[in-house]
Amino acid sequence: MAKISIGKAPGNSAILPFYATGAIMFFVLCVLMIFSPESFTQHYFTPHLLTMVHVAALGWGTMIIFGAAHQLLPVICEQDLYSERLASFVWYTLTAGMILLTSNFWNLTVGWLMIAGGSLIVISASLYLFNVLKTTHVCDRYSIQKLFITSSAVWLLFTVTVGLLLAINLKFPFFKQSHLEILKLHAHAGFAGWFLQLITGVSTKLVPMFLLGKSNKDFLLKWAFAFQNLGLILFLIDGYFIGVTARVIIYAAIVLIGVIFWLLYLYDTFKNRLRKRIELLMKHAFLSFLALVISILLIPAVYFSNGYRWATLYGTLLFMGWITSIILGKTFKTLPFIIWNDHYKNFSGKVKVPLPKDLYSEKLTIWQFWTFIAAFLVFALGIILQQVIIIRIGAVLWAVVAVLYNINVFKLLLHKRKKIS
Amino acid sequence: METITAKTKISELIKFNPKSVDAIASLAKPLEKLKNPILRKIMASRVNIGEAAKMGGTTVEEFKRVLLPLGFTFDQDLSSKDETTAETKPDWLRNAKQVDIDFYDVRPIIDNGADPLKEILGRFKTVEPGKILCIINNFVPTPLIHLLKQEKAEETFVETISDKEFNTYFLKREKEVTNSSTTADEKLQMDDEESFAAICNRFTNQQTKEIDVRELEMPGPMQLILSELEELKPENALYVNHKRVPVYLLEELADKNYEVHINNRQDGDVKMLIFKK
Repeated sequence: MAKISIGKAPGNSAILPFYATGAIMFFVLCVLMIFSPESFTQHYFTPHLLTMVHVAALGWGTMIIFGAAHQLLPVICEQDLYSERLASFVWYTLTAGMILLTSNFWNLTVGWLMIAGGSLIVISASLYLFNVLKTTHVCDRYSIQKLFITSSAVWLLFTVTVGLLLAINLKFPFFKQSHLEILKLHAHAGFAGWFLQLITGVSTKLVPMFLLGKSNKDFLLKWAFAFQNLGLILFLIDGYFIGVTARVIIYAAIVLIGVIFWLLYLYDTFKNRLRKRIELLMKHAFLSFLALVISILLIPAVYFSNGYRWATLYGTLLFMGWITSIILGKTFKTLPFIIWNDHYKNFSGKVKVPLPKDLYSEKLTIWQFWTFIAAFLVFALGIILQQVIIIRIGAVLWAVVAVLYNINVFKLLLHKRKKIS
Repeated sequence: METITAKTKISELIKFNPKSVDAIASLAKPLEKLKNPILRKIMASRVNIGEAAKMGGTTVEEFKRVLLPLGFTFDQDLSSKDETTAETKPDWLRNAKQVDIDFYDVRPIIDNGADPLKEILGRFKTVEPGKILCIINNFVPTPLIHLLKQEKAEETFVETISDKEFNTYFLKREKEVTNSSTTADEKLQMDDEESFAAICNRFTNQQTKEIDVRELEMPGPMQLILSELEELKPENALYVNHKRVPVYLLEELADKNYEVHINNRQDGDVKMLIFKK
């Protein structure tokens, strides 16, 4: 029999610290929102909002994604992760960089510390990209998921590099264009390059596994890849050389077509599924995609309206709706299995063992789901009405969601191996 | 033209042609209750023609007679045999002590225009396993019999006191039958080579189907295992050569009541034996 490459799961140091840090930073984010609800009624370039956005993007979204990606790359490529040590290093640099950067944003203390924070994050993204390329490189089987994951890692590096340049620009201005225009490019490279393409690639591998279904319509994903990238690249070139104009609506439409192709693929998988029970994860995923589509449709309103409410709602839909919802669901479809494998895979000797779903509280995830919906709606209402008090109530609900999430995540992380018999 | 059988629900008849209410009510006294909107709500959606015929002490043929003029056609294949209820009390009821039977008269509730179902279910919960609940009613509560049989009633018996009074007895099961309520952990075993071999030996070669999913790309292994299990004969087992423990599959199998034994020999070499409990 030919030797089969297995794609061993990497050691825990490459995964678990990311989940732990991500969960804590989600809670930190919600606490910051409680303390600074008025940020959501002002221009988006304010120190506090800048801090919260970066806690959300780096401490919460990117952190969890890194952990999940280190776990999934071996599964997708059927290759061991190129370097676990590199993966740990990615965690140190990202965590340190994120803390330095966000703490200096809070009062907009421009200077070397902020630049150092940005540099650490660039190092982190570079190491991550290197690890991804090295892991996927040996994998000769072409797959569209590999393409998405690689391109998203390239976009991440691009995004954080522009971010670093912006941090330098605050101290030593060198950009000819307006700082805020570049900020828009930086943010959208992060949204449509890093988050969107990573989530597209990973979801099209994971969802079939969870639902025990398969779609043969791979061509949809090729189109999704083409449109998502085309819309983003055109937006960046146009925005950098000419400026952000009403043409953004065309680019948003192109990206939306790419999103729709991806969602059609998932829908096909969903139709062909063997596992009929609609699980919590699926509900979270559905809400997540809904938030994404609504946010893209909101772009014309963001562009043409005066005031900040639509821009703020747009960002909220993306961070708290789209990214947060997908993580809240997917965490309990990945982490329990990682912990289970770690504790029970090599068990032998006629022992009965718990199932992955027995390692955390399913009841809490149901509470988490409903609280999430309540938090999102109250918070969004507060933004639309521009009422600080409603925004604050929403933020308190968000903190409840974060607490529920943290209880379950740490229940998993601190799981002690037990035999049933 | 609406085609109906003895299994068609009364509510469907009424939906198709509201005149059905009067037609059915004309058949027998107990069926006049259908004219009362509250009772109609309780009964119509839970009872089919065959059951209604039994409750009214009439036959499906009679139903046919009054429904044909209303634009219904009967599906002829369905022989509508009237099952006569056993008139002799079964042993479990005859041997029961009077103190072990909880009599519950729901006629006042129905007279007040309410649906007693909730109260009955609550009352049945309080009945101890092995004991009996008796519902006193002015018709045979066919839907309730179906419902409780699915739940925890082991046996039921209807005693006709008069055409206005029926006692329906429900015997509560001795103890929970463990089907899907077995905890998942009883179904997942990590074996060593020895205990795994022992469990494999419980099945002969003819009873064991072996598959190898190591070369398949995700989620291929899962799909093949599941489709093989679909076709697996009872008393047989599926032997799987896998390269990893398929964690996502375990819960699916536990939900479906399979016993799973896993022998993880080394990385890349996992053996599994799966069979129905």
